[in-house]
Formats: sequence, C-alpha cells, structure tokens
Amino acid sequence: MANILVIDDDRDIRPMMQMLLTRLGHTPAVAARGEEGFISAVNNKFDLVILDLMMPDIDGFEVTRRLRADARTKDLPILIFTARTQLPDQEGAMEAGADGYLTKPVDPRELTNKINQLLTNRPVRPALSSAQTSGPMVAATPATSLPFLANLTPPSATPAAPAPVGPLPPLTLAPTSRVSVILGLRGGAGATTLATNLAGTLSRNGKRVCLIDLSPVGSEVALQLRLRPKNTWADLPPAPDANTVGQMLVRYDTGLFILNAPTQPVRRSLSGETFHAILSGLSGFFSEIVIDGSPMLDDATMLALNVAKCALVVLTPEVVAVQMAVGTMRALNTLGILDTSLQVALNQVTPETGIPQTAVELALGRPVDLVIPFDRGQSAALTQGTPLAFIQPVSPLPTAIRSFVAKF
Amino acid sequence: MSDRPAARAIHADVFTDAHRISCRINISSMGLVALLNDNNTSMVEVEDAYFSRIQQPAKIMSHHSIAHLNKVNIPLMVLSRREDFGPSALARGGFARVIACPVLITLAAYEVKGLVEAVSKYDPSAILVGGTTRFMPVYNATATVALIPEPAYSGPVVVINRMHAISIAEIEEAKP
Repeated sequence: MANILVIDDDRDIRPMMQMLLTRLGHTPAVAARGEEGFISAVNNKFDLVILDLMMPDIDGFEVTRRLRADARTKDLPILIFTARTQLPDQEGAMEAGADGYLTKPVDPRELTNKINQLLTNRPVRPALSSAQTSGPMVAATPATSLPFLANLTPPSATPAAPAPVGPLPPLTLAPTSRVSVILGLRGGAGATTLATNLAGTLSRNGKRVCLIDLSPVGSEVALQLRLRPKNTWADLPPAPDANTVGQMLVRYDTGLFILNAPTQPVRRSLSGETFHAILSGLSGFFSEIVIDGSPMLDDATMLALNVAKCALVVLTPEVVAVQMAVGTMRALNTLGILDTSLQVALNQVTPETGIPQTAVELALGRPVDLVIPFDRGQSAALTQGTPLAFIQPVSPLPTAIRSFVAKF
Repeated sequence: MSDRPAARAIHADVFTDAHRISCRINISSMGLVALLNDNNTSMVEVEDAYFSRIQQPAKIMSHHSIAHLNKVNIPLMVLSRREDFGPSALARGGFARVIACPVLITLAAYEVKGLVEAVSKYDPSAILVGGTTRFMPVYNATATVALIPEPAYSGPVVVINRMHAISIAEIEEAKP
C-alpha cells in the first residue's frame, strides 16, 4: 500500500483515479490545482505523484521542476498523466524531472503497471545530482568511499612504478568477472548508448558493474549521463594499483561505477599497460566490466577485445556504416580477433528504415546477433541524462538489451 | 456556434503558423469533421485552451478557459484518436472503395506526411480541391514546422485545412 497524490484539474479524472488507486490498495489524495498539489506534496509523505500537465494556475512542468528543486521531494517519483501526446511534451516533462509519462485516455492496466513499476522500482536519480542545484551537468566526485575500497591500503604517496617495458604479461582476470566490449568505430552508431544501457541493465540485475569509456576524443559516456568528472583515466599513472583506479571511479547508481574518459579530446589513447593494470585491479571487485571502446583500434581496445567474453560491433543500417563494419571486422581478423568471438548489433537510430537486415547480413557474411529497434524514448533519456534502461525499462531499446543479456 | 447537442469532448492540438493551442473541443456524434466543415459557422469554440509558441511547443505561455478559433485560419490540427475526427462514412465523404495513398502535403508553414484516402485511384485534384469540404484528414500522419523541423508532431489523424494546402506529392513505396 502506498500513499499516492493525484494532481489534476479535471473533475472527471480525480474521482476515477481515486477509485482505481483505492481498488489497487493504495491511499489516494487529490489536488485540483498545481500550487495546491505542490504544497500538499512537500508537506505530506507520498510515495508517488500522478501529475497532469495542463493546469490553469501552474502547469505540470513547473510543478515537476519545483518538486525536484525541493529537498523534501527531490526523490519522489513523478508520473505525468496528460492529454498532451506529442514528443516535445514528453521530452519537456522528462527534462523537468518526471519519471514516467502516460497519455490520456489510458488503458487502466497500463496505468496500473506504470504505477506498480514506479513504486517497486523507484527511479534512480543520478546519485550525484543532489549536489547539483543549477545547470544540467552533474559534478561528479570520485568514489573514494566505496565499500570495496575500504579494505585496501591508502594510495601510496610515492610515484607510481614505471611502465613495464616490452610485451605485457598475460592478463588474468578474476574468474567471477566478465568483460563486455561495445565497439562502434563510426560516430553516431549508438555504441555509447548501448554501453550505458547494457551497464544499467546489468546493474539493475544486481550485478556490480564498472563502465569504462576508452574514447580519447571526449567522454561520450559523461556527456550522455550528464557527468562532469573530476578524474578520468588520463589522470592515472602508467601502472596504477586497484586503489588508485578506485579513486578515479564515479559512482552513478547502486552497483554502477564509471571510469570516465577525458572530457576534451586528448592526443594519446589510454596505453595498453595502464589499461592492463586497470582491468587487473577492477576485475577483483566487479562482476561485470562494460567497455565503451575507442573509435580506433588502439592498444587498450585491442586488449579489451582479447579478454572480452562479449565483443559487440555496432552498426546502423546505412551503406557507409555497413562498409565500415565489414572493414572493421576484416581488420580485427588480421589482428587476431576471430569473427567467431565477435557479435554484431544492428542499431536503428532513426525512425527511417534503412538497409534491410537481410542485406546487412549478406554484406557481413554472418547473421546479426542483436537488432535494436528505433526508440523514441532515447531522446528523452539523453535530455534527462539517464540511461533509458532506468527511466523506461520496458521501451524497445532496453527490452532488446535485456533479451540479449538473458543469453549471456 | 453549432446547435447540435455536444456528445463528448475531445482533446486536440491546433497549430497555427505561430502557436500551438492544446484544447478541448465539444463535438456532436458526427465528430469533429462535422463541426469544422459546417459552412454556417466561422468560429470554433474551444475550452481549456493552453497556448504555446511554436518554437517552444512544450512551454505553456497562457491558459484560457474559453477561446474562439477562426476556422479559415486554422492550417492543421493533430488528434490523438482516429475516431475523434468522425464516422468514417462522413470523414470519407460517402461510401466508396477507398485506397490509402502515402503523400506529402505542404502548407505555408507545415509539411505533413501520411496517408490520404482516395476513391479508386490517387487523384490530387479530388483530394485537394474536389468537393466543398474545407478540412480533410491525413491518417497516421506526421506534421513538421518547415522552419523548425524538430520536433515533429504525429498522431493517428492530422486534419488539414485544404485552403492552406499548397502542394501534394505521392510518396513512392520503397522498392525491395
């Protein structure tokens, strides 16, 4: 049973919602105006707010913004329930801080499912956003207080050991740790979107996940998740120990940590020996390591591909993207990464249908392992700076990723 | 004002060249088509009208419990349910074998892509200038402001004022 506040100026909707919520075993309260609803929400303890957008005094967008700005209600789940069906409204509501969006008229089962989802799986606001009072970017802090770091020795004050000379020793990962690499050598393929959502899905499955962004041309993960990392892999010494690496991690969610790439393009990719040390250190603490690969086949990306249990090459259904993927896979073959160890994801990043899947498979000479349908919710997720897997877990993209993860 | 008894209220997004008006319209059992194509009235009374500027479509700038729209100057409306437009016989202008043609229709400020229903074959003049009705439906349609292509507004029915339509072009099906 939950306490749910319904804020709606429609005199027909309010009693209907009261009846529905009472039948579901919840305790409903109603407010007919935005201002009245906001005052009620901050002065009472509610588990969920169901909010209309079009109200005569202050509209639902503004109520959402005020609730998010108030310390008492900043984490309160908000479900928008409105007759405004257009995408800009949904994006505006998500940007204001809403957690769900349903349009009227709605199937009561859909409404019930959404309410249950928000009550049982409370949306995760980026843990770091509480420090944020204005502006869209989140000031990310190092995860120095992570529980798994508690037993480690403090970082040494002495300079790090010099980088090893010559070939790297074989990388041995903890047996409980699995590495997944998402590779999209062509910009716009959606590799980072896949990486963030894969990491989010795994963390939602109860895994302890570390997402590593290897891009030397600006951290796309940080941009997508609206992070402003203070530390990145560029700040690491050549052969860092686990404790030093841990200090560079940003905690995004319960169980999801991120090692960010530099926010600005840098001249050098992460070196193979540094990444060797990073993976060695992290594998003991994380059951899943998801790597958003560099847009080039640098040493770190090749090392990741060599130890990955799952290496996913992402392409879009366009001619150039398919040609690029064919070239990438040929290049990987010559570098010792066999086709059999790679998987292919066909990502429909626009609503326009492109080359048919059969034609893509013909060009690649192999089947596509994961097809990701176009997901309108992704634009809202980007606006909100949260993986779609967190805010709309049943929409097409997270659903496809969940099915893929189930085959792991 | 129509003297038909109001059967129910529907929600509509009315788009002018500069504004988006999200409102409630009381319609009779003959649907919105009967109200819009009623030549005896020039205005449409809408309730709970929320005005936004077209360049900030999600930002509500004004609310009015009653507003009146001049039908002649409404370029298009987006409805969220197909049945809101009206009974299919009335919407199509009679009973006939109809085919759905994918088209692009341009207005002064908007581009609309969707399906229009044509009798027997695609006939641009019958669609745009035939008959006496002012408003026509485009099904499963997406409307875009020509100067601000993002975002697009989509719905099961986009209602177009034919007097504002400038061009129509059939969209050829992609060859397999």
